[in-house]
Amino acid sequence: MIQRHPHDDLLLSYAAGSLDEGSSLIVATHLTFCAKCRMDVLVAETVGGALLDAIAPVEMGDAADVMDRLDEPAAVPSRATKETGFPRTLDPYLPDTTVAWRWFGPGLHYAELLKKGGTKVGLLRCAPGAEVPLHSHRGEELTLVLAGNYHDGESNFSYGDVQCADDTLQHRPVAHADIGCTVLIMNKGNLRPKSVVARLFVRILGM
Amino acid sequence: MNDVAAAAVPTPAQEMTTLLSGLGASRDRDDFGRLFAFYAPRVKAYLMRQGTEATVAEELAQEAMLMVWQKAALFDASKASASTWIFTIVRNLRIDALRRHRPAFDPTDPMFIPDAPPSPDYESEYAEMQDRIRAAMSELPGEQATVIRLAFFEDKPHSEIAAQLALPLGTVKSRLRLALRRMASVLEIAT
Repeated sequence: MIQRHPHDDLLLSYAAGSLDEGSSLIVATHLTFCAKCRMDVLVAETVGGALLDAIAPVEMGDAADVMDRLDEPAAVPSRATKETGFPRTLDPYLPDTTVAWRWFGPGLHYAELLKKGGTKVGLLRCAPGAEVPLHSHRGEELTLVLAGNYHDGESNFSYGDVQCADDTLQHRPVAHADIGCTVLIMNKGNLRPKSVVARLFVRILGM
Repeated sequence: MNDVAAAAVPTPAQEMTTLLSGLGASRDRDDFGRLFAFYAPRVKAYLMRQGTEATVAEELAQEAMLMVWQKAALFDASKASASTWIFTIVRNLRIDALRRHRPAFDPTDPMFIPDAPPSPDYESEYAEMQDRIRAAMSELPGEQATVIRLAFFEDKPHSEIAAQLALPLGTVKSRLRLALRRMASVLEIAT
């Protein structure tokens, strides 16, 4: 049972269509696992539908042009799926075969999926008991657990859970001692390392 | 009356949902004409309200309506009203037109975790639920209605909405959260 969900303002912007691609990737992947949040997104989309109903209509050409095209065959989007073992939301961002993991610290491997306008999304694989050095954030950070679980000193995060962090949070996540964890992680702006070791990590990671 | 409150007033939308439900099977062009007459001018207005230039908005509205015809068989009135469904089509078309990407979950993903099975009269429950959501919209405090409107119409990150309203980012986020919680909570009472 998923305990931790993306904040409602993210679900709302995702439904409105204004959420950035990196955050949307975390939200869409969480929605793959979470019926509760799918319902919240539907509520927000219902708001969008109601706003559409209520807007004052503007002058629009008649239906003739569209009527002429009704017999056109519909474009069928190609949907080649990959066998990566990850949720399909990640398919467009993953290589065809194996994920190119980069070592960046004891027990830690990272694979970048998306880098756009200061936002980065990647997979982080943590061996059992591996620790991400203490850091805080200059911008938002969203972490979605895809396998295993981790503890950040205050709370435990397991399969499907999302942790939303901002510049007020300082944490040192530790992967589960027996099963480790794999997370999808999005961050905006650089991490703020709190130690020499952490600074080294950030430099290697290019965050 | 602000437009968030106005959106809560009942419209011919229920009738449109019935028309759209039948369209996939009937392929009735007159029914499509009626859907077009109701939605196309609203879709165009909505896109223009979001800052899309009039001629582009008109083209996108036409594309959206063509897509409504092509995808009509996929419309499921137990999951959305016509307005909600068309809203999502327009949203996605606009994002494509802007060459942006919006990842979406795939219900056929082997990792997809399905909803709990719906109750037999879920369809009528959804219609009722829509009314409740609309009622909750009309009762939102003004400050929450404002951020909701901006979130849908302005297509801006929360930080820019906050700057526009001269409010701290945290305040904008918490108003959006409160608004969605309030509207979603009417469903919890229902079940």
